[in-house]
Amino acid sequence: MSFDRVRRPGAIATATGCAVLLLGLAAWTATGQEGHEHHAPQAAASAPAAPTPPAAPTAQAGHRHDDHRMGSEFRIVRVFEPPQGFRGNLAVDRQSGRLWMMSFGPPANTRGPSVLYEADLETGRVLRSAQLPFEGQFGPPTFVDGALHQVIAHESKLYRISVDPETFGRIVGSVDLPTLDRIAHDGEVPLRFPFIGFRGMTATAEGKLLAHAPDLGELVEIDPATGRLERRVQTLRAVEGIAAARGERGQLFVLASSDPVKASFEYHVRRFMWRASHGTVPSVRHGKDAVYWVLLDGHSGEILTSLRQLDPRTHAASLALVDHRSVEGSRFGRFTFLTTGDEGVFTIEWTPGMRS
Amino acid sequence: MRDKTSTRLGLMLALAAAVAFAGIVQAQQATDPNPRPGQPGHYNHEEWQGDYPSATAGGDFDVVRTLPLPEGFLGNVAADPETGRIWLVSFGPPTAPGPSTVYEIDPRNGDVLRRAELPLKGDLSSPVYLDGHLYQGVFHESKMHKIVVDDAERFGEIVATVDLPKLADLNLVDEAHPMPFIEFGGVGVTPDGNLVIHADDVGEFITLDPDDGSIVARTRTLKALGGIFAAHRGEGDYLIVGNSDPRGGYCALSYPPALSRTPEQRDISWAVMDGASGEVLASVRRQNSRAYASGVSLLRYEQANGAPYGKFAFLATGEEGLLEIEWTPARDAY
Repeated sequence: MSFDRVRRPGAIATATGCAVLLLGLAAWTATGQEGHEHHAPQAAASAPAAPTPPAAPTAQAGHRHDDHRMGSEFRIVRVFEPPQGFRGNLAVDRQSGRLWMMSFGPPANTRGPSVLYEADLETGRVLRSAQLPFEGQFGPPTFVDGALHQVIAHESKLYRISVDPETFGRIVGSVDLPTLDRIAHDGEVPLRFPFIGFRGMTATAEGKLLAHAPDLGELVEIDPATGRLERRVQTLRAVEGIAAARGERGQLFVLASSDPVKASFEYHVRRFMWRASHGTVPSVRHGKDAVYWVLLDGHSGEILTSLRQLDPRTHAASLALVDHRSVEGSRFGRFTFLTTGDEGVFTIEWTPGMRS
Repeated sequence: MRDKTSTRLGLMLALAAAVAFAGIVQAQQATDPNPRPGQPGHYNHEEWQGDYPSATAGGDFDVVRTLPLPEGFLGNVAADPETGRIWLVSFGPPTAPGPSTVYEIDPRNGDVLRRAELPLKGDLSSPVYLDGHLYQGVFHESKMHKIVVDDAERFGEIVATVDLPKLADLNLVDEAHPMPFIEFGGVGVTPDGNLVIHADDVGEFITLDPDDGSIVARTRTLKALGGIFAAHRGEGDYLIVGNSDPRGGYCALSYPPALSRTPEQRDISWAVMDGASGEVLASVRRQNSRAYASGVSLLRYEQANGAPYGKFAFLATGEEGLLEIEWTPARDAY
């Protein structure tokens, strides 16, 4: 099994701490405690969409630091092995409990073509599989309207893929996605490629796709039938996987994973241009890898709470929500989700801020 | 006396044999494209063991004049060494605010002689002039466009587009790359009329047939070069001059140190490489460079007394506009 992330030679060696500031995550690194949580003010959940770039939690009005006494619970429930050599993303249909795994295509996947697997949610046993023609690295598939939807960012395409047993893995439709030259953005930093580099993706209760665009630092709601961008909300740039859940009072919780060092490196690489003057190169940060688990308000993009894990067993990778339920004493409830790490596919339970 | 003569003769023969052997090895390596690690016939680059570069080690390197660029221009330059004509191609949106545009400018003063909008998007590779056309790569679409520039009536018309190979076509064994396309900035013309591109991420000169985009040859070389041009030495032999910004050298090899990472701003390295082997022959590092490590285009190439690689006159871009630079690399100028 190979679960290593795609890296350019020397990439992580040049990854930076200073760019964490750019990503609005400096406050996290300042705490220096494993499992440390931050909580946004109560008002954040109902705040209007922020038109400005995301701010660090400490910069938000009324933000306070909480500590372990806030009672966050985070535990690994189980780990299973994916198919041999699998490198890719996960998707779950919460209603039926079906799990799909989509492997990257070449050259991100050196072992062969992109493959869609359906697997048992608890054991990982492969139930069926099909080859797909996708190339390179891409975000996770998302189950909406009876089919998987797969964005291939560098093609600016959204593919609809059948998961019916008889036609499993067949591409049954595709729509074009808008490109960066067709949508409004701040234009502060030149973007090298015309396509929107969607990364995390999840389904909303209304049957829409909610995607994260690191280049824009936005959560973007996409109509899966037309590919039209229907709503855009500014949030953190440094987000990998996302999974959406409805709160009891109609809140749109967006669970996210984040590796700010990796994200800051990619942020610079994506923008580095030989043919122009540049800012400073990211400095090297020596230290342990960390993964952040973040709960975002899907309406405002604000951070509601976060948890930092040092030396994590999981990557900041795609998330697939299996369950979300209310828990007494918790503002946000308990999230049960799948993600990946070197050991395989992890099932994790996180109950952020039990006593907050 | 006879013993001394015999000894000297023996030493000379041994030395000659060693030199000959080294020459054979070098010649073999110079013509060997050096397949990638894991592929048959691959050999490791020998690590540079010489001195680190000094400010004067690279020979004469001077900006001899500047020309203005169109207002807000962000893009690349191409020139025809035979006629001295100069063209510019600006990036498309979202990289640059307006549409991509091809300009022909007056080589005497930079005045725009003609212009035409192009339907190109994003960051673009350097254009290169060949047989009356500019060849313009759009690497993130794996396309090469052929654009008319010799016919004033049809100036800027795209008359052909060919698909380019992708990373999967390079059989990179166990190298994983997130994007399927070959990213290349620098482009040159080989003596036999093919295009040579520099693939940044994989560190190769890839020679392409301009008519169909097929791969003609591959040569391993440095990664993370900005722009390149090819200079023909006769009998099919050619040199490639390239530049590198260490801040972009996240994937650059540590060989040679002249092109390795440093924290200084605008600390640009220039290298002369053998077109057939990809090996670095000479390089120079310019601190506080007036030129970007970006697209370059050859204006003149001539032999010069005592200069093993001749004298290059070429165009580059910088804060001041279009720069004409002359460089006469010294031997082993690392």
